[in-house]
Amino acid sequence: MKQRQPLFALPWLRLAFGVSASRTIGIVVFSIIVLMCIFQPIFSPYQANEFVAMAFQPPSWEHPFGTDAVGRDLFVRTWEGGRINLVAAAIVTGFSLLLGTTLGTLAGSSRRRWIDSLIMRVVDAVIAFPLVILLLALVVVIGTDRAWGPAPAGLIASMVALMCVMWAGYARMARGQSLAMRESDFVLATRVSGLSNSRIVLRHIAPGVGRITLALAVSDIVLVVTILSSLPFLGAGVQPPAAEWGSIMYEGRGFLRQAWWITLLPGAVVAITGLSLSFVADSLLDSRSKK
Amino acid sequence: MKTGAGWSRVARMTGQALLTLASIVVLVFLLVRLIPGDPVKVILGVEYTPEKAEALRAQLNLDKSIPEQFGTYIAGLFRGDLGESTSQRGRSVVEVIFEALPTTMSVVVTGILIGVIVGISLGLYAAISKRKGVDLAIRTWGMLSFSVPTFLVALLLIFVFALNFGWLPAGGWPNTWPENLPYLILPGIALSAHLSTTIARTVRQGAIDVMGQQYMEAAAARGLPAKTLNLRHILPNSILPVLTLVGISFGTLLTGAIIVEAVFGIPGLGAEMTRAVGRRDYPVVQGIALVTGFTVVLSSYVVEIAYTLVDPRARTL
Amino acid sequence: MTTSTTPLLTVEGLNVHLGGRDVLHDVGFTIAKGDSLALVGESGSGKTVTARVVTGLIDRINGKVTGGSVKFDGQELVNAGPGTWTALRGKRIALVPQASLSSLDPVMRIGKQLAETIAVLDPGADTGARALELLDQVQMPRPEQILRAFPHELSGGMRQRVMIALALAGRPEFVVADEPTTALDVTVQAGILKLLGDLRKETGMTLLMIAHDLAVVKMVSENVAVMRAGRLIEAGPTKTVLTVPVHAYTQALLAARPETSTPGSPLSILDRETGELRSPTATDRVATEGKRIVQLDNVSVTYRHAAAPAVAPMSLDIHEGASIGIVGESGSGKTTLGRVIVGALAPSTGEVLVHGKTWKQIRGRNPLRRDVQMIFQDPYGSLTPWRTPRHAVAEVLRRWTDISAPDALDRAGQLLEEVGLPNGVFDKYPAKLSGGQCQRVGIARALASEPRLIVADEPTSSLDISAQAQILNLLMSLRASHGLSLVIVSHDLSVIRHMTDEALVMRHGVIVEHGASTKLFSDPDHEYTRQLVDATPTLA
Repeated sequence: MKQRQPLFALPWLRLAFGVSASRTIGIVVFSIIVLMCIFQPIFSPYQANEFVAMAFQPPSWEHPFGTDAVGRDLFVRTWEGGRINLVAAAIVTGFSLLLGTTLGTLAGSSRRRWIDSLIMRVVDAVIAFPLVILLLALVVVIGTDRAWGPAPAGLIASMVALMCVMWAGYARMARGQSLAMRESDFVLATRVSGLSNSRIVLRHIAPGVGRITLALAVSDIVLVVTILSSLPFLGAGVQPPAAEWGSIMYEGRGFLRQAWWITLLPGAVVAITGLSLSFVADSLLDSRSKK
Repeated sequence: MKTGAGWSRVARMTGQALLTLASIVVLVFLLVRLIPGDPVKVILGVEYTPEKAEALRAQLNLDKSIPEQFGTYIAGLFRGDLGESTSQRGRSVVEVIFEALPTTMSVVVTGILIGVIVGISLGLYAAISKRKGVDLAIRTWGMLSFSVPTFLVALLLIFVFALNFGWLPAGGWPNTWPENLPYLILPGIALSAHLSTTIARTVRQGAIDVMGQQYMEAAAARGLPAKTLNLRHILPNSILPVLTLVGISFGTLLTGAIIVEAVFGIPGLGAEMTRAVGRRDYPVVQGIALVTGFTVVLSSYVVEIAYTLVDPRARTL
Repeated sequence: MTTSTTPLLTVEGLNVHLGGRDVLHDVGFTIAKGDSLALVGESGSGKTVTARVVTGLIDRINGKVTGGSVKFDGQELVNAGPGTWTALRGKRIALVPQASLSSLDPVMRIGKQLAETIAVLDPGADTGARALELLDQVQMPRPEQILRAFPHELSGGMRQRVMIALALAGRPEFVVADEPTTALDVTVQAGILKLLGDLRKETGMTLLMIAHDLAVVKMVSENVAVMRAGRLIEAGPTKTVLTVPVHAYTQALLAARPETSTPGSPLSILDRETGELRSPTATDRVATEGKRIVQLDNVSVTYRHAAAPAVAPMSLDIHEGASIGIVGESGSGKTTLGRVIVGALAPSTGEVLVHGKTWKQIRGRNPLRRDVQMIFQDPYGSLTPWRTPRHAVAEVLRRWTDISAPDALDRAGQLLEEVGLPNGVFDKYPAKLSGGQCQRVGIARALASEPRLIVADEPTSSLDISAQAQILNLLMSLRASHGLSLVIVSHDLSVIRHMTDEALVMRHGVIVEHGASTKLFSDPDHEYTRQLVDATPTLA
């Protein structure tokens, strides 16, 4: 009787294509966007960073998003920029989720008060800062001059800065959850049964904590995308002429009256991406509360 | 009323707040010193010369030992001295910050006011209205406002109201009151977008929880009319969390305010910060980080105290 | 009691649809003016839904009456408009809800909540004076203080009295009391039941009471109707139904109460397939040596910041094969004591010795840990929501023996079978199991360590009556077949009397009496024990 296989397969499938209609819509739309980001730049007749036509052309069949101030095709720029945003957001969120959940669970389930206090003091201090301030401070210190391989200048600094800051929210949430669980009957039962501490934390506390932080992570990806695209407005983040949602919109800000499509169409893509992910996150929370 | 226990809670919260403040001080101090490599080199960037490096190092106190640096730093804090700006000759960091602070605060306060009013109204409406469409619409609107970055909201507002209709200014800032007011409206709305959504969501959930509570059913069973139920019972219970929410969101609000200032060209802390980042003016950056960190801790502290006073259940814990 | 024959409430052929299913089928009963009826049933029987229909609250939970009629004093209540209900609610028909912490607005003082209701139902009355009058009527001590208090400052019993006062504000002639004494201590319960009886005498009001405890019904209502799965299966005068029940289900409900059987013998249960009452045979006892397993030496527990100890210094010896009961009301310290015995809580003074070693000394893989195990009160809360029963049990097996993973899973299956868990749920998550099934998993998990002593903390309090009998029988047979010692912590005297040989009675942390179970309940020495025994409703 093999019990392992079904346990891994089914919950994931149910999670991905659950009963909720909004979750399905969210996943479908998000997948479309991801696919566009991956494939459109490959198949597009235009390069993202080349001047291919007259500047300030409104959207047309040739250029679905029009052209920008220097004559680049905005459609391909948007999707190429999307690659950066989404990959960066995924990396940052993934890292923060792992680090934060681990530290938070450690703080919450550890017997020694000093571990808990130490971690939580750091968490509190990090959370206290307005995000952008801390980011900018770190960016100044890390420097935005170097480009790292495929990543444009400024991206790495922003990502590192974000990773230094975002784990704290997960840590606080994970700590709260594991603390609550530690006092629960079922954890008490495992201790009375004599199970080892590591087993209790790994198999009994962590999965519960993980579910909650995972839900947060999905909605956080939206937040990271938002922040990354906001950074160029503050002189940090990805700088023009590199293509990234934020830098594209930043470039277009001065031309709202005559060429609104430069800023607002990529903006619409950002909004739709965020919305689809929010649908997914929202339905994750919903199904949790029904249990 | 057991006020004794209430005071011990206040004492505990004060202690925690002080501890967090201390951690912030330490964290800001460590920001520069912990990054590998030479911060002076990074700060000077292309203008690096050995002489300038020496001068900057001395100015930033980086040439002394770490404990000495910390001592100078702390001493400076107590005196109210945060150092001198490296990019704006002759101006102390404190000057720079406190000139810009009131401007940013007015933007934040406007954002809070609009956010609270809109949020509570939408949230209550969504909860009370029986029509399914209303609830769904408000929730979708909520998700939408989270997905659109604040700067985009700001740009959209400018596009529609300033450029298209010309009702409100697209940016800028007269330094006198009350000429300021029209210039605060669009920025305030842009800033309030996220907050109003979070508030609406919380109020809606709170109101739904309250409506489902047994005491609501019991009250209805006693024959209390719907109007009394709504005003006297649902409202106070669901507004309580809004207080906490505003306190917690202060950090996010400051972040948003900075972005909004950048888009509208308002000379507040955001503008100073951006300028300082652009010019690698580390003392100013550090100073702003410290001041904003303190503000956030203080605001959540004030809110928690207020909550203790308002919620009778919290007093006995 | 007055038995006038004018019917006040007539229910006929009532059908209700709720949450996607039909929850009431063809329910009908009559209550005469001044009379009382108790609706009894387990969870899901439809008794609460019926109460909601009669008080006009069925819309609030999105239920629909799909057929039948409910006539109050000649007036049809089904689908009645809001105007009808405004005239009736509070003034002629009143609801006394169950007094949990959330049945009163937590941020409003009691006095204000009373005043608010009085203002609506009795306009023109002096709210202050009337509020005091009402509190007096419900026999509340120090009414002026209560007026200024907040709900969370009141005890459960006081809150229930306030709920009754609120219901009486409009001087109704018909009161529906929804489980008025569930979750209250036995002595407090006795007070509330007496109050209800006094009020009926005083005001001549008609009472419809919802309950799940047959013994409580006996004390308060002349008529009873038994409900099961949305149907009324038996009704009649309480005396008749409780002594000569007709339906097998009623018989099973009665037989499941421990006080109706001989102590130590298995309780009769309803066989689901045949629908008949079955008396299982007792399991043969395995011989035990009588060695001492656990010794509590001058143990006391005081929580931080507490004025008085939760458990006052006490000593106790637990031997092999013993069965000991710990009885007390809420706050007596019985749960704390149970946890101390098991090593889940460290005592503030004294030591708990297991085969001579203290719990502090028993760490890691010390096999002594296996010897003392626990079963918890909340069946769902004691199982990790993301572990299936099979894995939860297998885990414990693998901890203590060298058995391989596949073998552990098999052996876990065997254990789960032994405790009566149906095969189909071995690999489902706890949320999909019933309360009784979860409790069985908890028992199997405890057995997996092959313990010598099991402490059962209120093992049946959260279960329906039918499940209770099954779990009690299971515990008895396991004790016999495995030679276990049992410590049962409970507030229910009849359970203790039925299951244990000796018992301790606790009050505010102090053991007030300790002796043989039968003597304790037939001829108690201590005043408090006597109070407990007198206050416990019983069918016997």
